[in-house]
Amino acid sequence: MNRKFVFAFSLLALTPSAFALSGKEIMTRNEDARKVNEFEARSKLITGNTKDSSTKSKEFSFWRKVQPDGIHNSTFTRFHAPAEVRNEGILIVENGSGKNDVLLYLPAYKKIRRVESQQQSGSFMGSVFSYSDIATPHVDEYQYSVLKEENCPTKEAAAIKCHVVEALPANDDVKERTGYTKSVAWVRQDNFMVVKGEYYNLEGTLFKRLEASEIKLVDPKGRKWLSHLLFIENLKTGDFTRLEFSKVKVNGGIADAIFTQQNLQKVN
Amino acid sequence: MMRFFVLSAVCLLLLQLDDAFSKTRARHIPLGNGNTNLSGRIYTDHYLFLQGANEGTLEQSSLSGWLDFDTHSETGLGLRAIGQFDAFYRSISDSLNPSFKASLREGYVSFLGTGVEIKIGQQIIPWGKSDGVNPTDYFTAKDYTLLNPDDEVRRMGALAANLSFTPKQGTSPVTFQVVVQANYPQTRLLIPEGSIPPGIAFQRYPDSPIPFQSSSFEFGGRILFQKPDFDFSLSAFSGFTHFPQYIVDPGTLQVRPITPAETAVGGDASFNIDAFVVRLESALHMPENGRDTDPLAGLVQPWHWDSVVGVERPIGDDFRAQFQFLYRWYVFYRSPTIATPNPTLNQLILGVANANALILNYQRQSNPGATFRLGYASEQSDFSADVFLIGYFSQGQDYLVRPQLGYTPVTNLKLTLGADIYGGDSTRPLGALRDRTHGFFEAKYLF
Repeated sequence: MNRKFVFAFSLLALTPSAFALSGKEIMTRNEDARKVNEFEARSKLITGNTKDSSTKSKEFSFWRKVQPDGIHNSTFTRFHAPAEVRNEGILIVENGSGKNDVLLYLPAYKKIRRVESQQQSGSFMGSVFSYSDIATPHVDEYQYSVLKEENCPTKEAAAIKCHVVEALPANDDVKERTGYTKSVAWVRQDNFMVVKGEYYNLEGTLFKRLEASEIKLVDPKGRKWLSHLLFIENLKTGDFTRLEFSKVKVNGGIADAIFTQQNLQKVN
Repeated sequence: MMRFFVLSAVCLLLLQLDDAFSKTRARHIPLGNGNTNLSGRIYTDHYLFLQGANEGTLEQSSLSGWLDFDTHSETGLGLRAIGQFDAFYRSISDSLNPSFKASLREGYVSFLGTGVEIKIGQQIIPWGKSDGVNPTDYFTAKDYTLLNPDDEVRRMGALAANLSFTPKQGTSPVTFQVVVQANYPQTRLLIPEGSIPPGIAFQRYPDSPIPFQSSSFEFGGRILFQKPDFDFSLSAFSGFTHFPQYIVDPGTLQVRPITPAETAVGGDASFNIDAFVVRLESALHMPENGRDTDPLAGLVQPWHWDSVVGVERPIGDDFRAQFQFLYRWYVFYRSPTIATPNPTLNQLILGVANANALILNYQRQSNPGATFRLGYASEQSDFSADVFLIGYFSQGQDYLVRPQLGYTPVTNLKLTLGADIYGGDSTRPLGALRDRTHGFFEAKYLF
């Protein structure tokens, strides 16, 4: 057996393992694909229940900016409708400890209230999303394993292959903050965006399912993508929420002063 | 007046330093939904005596409305006005006849720039982190004769200039705030029947608002340090107590309310410890004639140190619990000294002094108390339930318990059913109001 043949054979033998991505590599690419330095949009949060035709809608403005560490985000939302939440504001500042800081402004009382770490797994403005869902997950907060590859399970991405990746919280702080003991993500192989997610509660039971669609390239230069429509369902209660983004603007120059307590209470 | 000019000069200097009127910096400050908004609320609430001589009769019944207009430009300049009307079928002030009043709740011009916030006009400026009991809430007053349990409804504002400055284009954790307030508001307390000696001319509530004059100006400032995980502030105030107390005019023997001048210093803080939010607030109030060597010692409220330590946490997904320990210490505490040659006058002064001590809760030097709140809200916020308890203990306990049930049948409409139950020692501030125990119903629509 000559050396060339041996070398080529070795390459062939190695190909599946050498070029298959690990769970962490997939989710690192996912984080990179969705990490837009600055992002602002108008948003609509529609909630309802599968057993009932009525829905409720909340409208808000949304600002997000990557912090100087290049990893964590600061997120600011200001609600416009309905009247009962008008001018309420929420500031979420992610930090390296796994315990995000969440501050809520209540215009009726002209006061800011802190949201406890435990409460961050609770409902975000009456929706199926939690505060920690609105803040984004980071690669280092989880341990990953690739379960399989299959066609993406959503209509929009049905023709595309997906990595199916399981994520386990890296520590108890993350588990407490998110309220999830495990999640499974379907990650598109072409752009590394998540199209579907399943989330398991502290009892280990599957209780939330997410679908992401209208995934668009919002920063062609940086190859950054954004899902403009998220649908999440609570499988135990039948409650669902649609989160829609419109008027999306990226890297438009958002002042750091937006992500401060001073700004949170600054309404006319 | 000199103080006003000095403070104004400081503020202008700070503004120039930051060049904060820059349009480009103001551009990204999110101010709301569009340039002009019109919103408001209509609510009707009804209170029925549940015990005492008036049991089963209406205590208060009203229909109220607020119209809130605000507009702002891209440069950060804005205008806000909240008009309010209250049509009373029955009220605490007049339990027999309907009455109507209309007022400007807030009305101010503003500049909201990056790092700078200026508001000038009629406004409500609530300070303090704790819930319901705020020792550093120097500038506002509350109308307790409006029985609505919502602090927002009871709170009263006044004509003021309110300036805040945050260095580094608004990104510094440090903020400086200066407030100058004219014709300050005065709290209207629920005064227990019989607390003022009978048979004398008695002006129950002060004339409000007080006349606009330079001697009635109030000044306050605070430095805030606000990080996402921790914040605190230190504050100072020079003005007047907003809680009226009574004195006897020796010439006419009329009893009338006064609001003594006072200075105060204080601070507050909040932070998270695991599942708990902790809030601390404390202030030393130093009213005029509040020391043991002052001419009205024992007749008006003495110097006092008010403190609140509170913790709050969620219980499961739908419940929240909050506990606050309250402590008020009267630094200079003494019984009234009455030294007029007229025994009748002495008797009257003593009665009024006791009434002040009852109404303003300074019957003893040390006043520990507590609040407890347990709240429930369904995930969609359609149903809510809340029990609030405030009580004072040691040497005679008294308390107020307020259970409430809320239901939101459609978006923006909330129906509330509840009760205010006063009890305990009838010689103490809350126990003396036991005949005001009532049940209530409110329907509120926001638009």
